[in-house]
Amino acid sequence: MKIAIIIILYVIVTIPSIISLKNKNKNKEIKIFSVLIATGLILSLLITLGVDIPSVDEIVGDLVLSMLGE
Amino acid sequence: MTQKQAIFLIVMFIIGSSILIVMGMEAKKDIWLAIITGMVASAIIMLIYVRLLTALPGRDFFETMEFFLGKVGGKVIIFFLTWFCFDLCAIVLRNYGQFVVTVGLKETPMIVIISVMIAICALAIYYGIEVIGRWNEAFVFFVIGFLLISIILVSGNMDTNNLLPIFDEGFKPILKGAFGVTTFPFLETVAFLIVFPKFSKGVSVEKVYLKGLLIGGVVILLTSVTDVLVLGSTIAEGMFYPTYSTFSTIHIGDFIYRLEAIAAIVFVIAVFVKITILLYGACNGTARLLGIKDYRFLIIPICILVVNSTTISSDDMIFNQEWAMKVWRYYGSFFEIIIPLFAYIIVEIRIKSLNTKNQTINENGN
Repeated sequence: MKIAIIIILYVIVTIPSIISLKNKNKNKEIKIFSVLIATGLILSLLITLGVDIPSVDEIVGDLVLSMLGE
Repeated sequence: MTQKQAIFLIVMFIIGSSILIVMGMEAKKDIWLAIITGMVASAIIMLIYVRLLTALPGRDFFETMEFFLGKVGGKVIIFFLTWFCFDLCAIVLRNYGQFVVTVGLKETPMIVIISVMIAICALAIYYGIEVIGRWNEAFVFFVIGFLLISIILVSGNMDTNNLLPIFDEGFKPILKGAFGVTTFPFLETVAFLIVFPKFSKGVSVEKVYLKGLLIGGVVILLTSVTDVLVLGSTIAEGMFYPTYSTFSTIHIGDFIYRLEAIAAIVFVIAVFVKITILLYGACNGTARLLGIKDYRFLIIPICILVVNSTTISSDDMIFNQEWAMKVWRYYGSFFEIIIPLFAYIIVEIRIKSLNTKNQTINENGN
């Protein structure tokens, strides 16, 4: 159910932007937009499925705290 | 953008989340000394930012970096600053979400709170930095005015003994606190390198940065000292939101109380400006990295990525507090001090070599 809602939300948000970019013949922008949206969608789905994705902040935090000896 | 609008943007950016999350608490009773030391240190680093923005008159930061560091070198610097804006935006958004969940909407999922905020910020940056500047110009007086009035109202609960004795624990905690305050919030203004547009003639970038630091720094100094005066350094240090708790002690007669609600509104306004500026920096930086002039089509995907990044990060408040207090100063100083310093050194060397070249050509010509 949650996954369906996420996909629907992404479609609602994405389609008007792609149509608008296509009308302006901005092909490079469409490619960049699609890659970023796809990344966002994959991340959202992984988060929803409960996959533990390490964040940069946590990695940096562990690194710095271990360097500080804590 | 006018000079006044740019100054107020820096003021609101500095006030931002630091109204509630107080840094420099390592200095305890000497927090005021830590903040003043931090302001002086930040002013020196800010002069490097100013130099980077003004090294090539009439050009913005992106063009300046590509001119002096080459296409690849310039893009590396821009990449780091863009990542800084993106990551800090996610951190501030997470702090905002946690604050709202903690003090108000306990049953509401954090994703809803941060999504609503990011949607408003997205709309703001769609209209451009000039519009944000004009909006901010109107609200900065409300924010500062409320903080000053609250400090006056809470003055009855202050105990000056909470600040005494001075230098109780020596210089080391003061320097530690000063380092903390320098990296959060003062030098977070490094984000403005990729946010400020080309300024029109007559605008002094130096004045923009230094006046912004002075006004924002004084506000932070007043709120932090008030927290220690009212709560005491030990209690204030152990709290998540000491300023919020300080304002909750205002109780005058039977009609002026529960002013912490207004503190929360002020926090939301200030954080809105901060997130908007960082989001603008992330979108603008990404667009320029990819060689595109208009950043607007990037707003939606970057907002989605920021929300994802916020969700991925730990929602453990104790971990986040520890991260802000212990880790940020080292992580942040890489972007706030090391990267600008590196760019500054290269820019100065290139300017010197260009001047020598021009001199030689002129001498040969004569």
